[in-house]
Amino acid sequence: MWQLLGESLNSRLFLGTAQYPSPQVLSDAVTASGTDVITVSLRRQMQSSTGNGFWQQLKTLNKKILPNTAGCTSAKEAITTAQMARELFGTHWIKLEVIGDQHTLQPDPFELLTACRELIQQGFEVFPYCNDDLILCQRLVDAGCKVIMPWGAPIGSGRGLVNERALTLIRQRLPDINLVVDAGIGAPSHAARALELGYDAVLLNTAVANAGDPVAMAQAFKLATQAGRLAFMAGQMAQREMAVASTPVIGQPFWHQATVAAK
Amino acid sequence: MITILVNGKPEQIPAPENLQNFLQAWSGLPEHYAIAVNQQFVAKENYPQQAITAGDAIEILVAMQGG
Repeated sequence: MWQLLGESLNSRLFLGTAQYPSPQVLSDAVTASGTDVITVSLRRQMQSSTGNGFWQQLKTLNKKILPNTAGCTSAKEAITTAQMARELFGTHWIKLEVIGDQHTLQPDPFELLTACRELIQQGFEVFPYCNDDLILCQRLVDAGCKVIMPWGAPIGSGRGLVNERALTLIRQRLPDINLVVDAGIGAPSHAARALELGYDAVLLNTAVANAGDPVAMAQAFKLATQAGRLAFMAGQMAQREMAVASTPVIGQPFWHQATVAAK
Repeated sequence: MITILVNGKPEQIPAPENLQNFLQAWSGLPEHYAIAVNQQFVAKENYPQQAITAGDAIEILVAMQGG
């Protein structure tokens, strides 16, 4: 159990709800993942029906909702979307995405910070999706963010923690801030590594939704985040340049001693 | 009649008094939604005060899957 913005959470895995083969697979994957927090978006209704099956599914899943501002490219768009999300979902949590480049979906740090400042003024708890620049992360904290979500790699790329040193530095320099690796995670080992580095959680979607068996992969990520956190708490051994025998040298049989003497 | 944009599509409607009147007359209204007019969020309690005039762009958004 851990605390995030006054919420008690069991899981350190935040799961996206997009791209699943079917609504049933989504529900089964959410259950298998053990997640407490799922991400959602706002879009124009595409079908002619006035019903919204996804809305009913969210009610059934009964998880903490983290709406996003995906697709926004300016602070103004993101602020409007966040305001709409707050009313629709009844939460002041917002995953703030302001995209600066359509090829890499890299966040626009300037628009992000502008939107962040305004939304915090309006009472939101902002989860900014940002790149792994320490100074940007510090500025977001200065603006009032209690959670920072640097990317591991571009959204949907599945490349893992491309710049682990930068992520490590952010963890070291912001020891009291909740850190979540958001985007780019493709395998459970990536998630475990993020938790081993001391990150508080990971947020992912495509790695589960696009897996051959999304439900099994959701469970794999559940176990990986648990293992990563346990490893972080256990304290990893210090790395060494040279080999150090783990088996005691004292009491070696005579033929080993003869080999050493011959050298 | 006036022409407005609803979720990006032009629609000709009788000039409504306000957003609330428009929504009551609009057949495609989903059960759960949030609204922006001309890229500005309009809270539900402000629908009766939100004027709708020719050329306005109304966005009616619903919950959708997201990452």
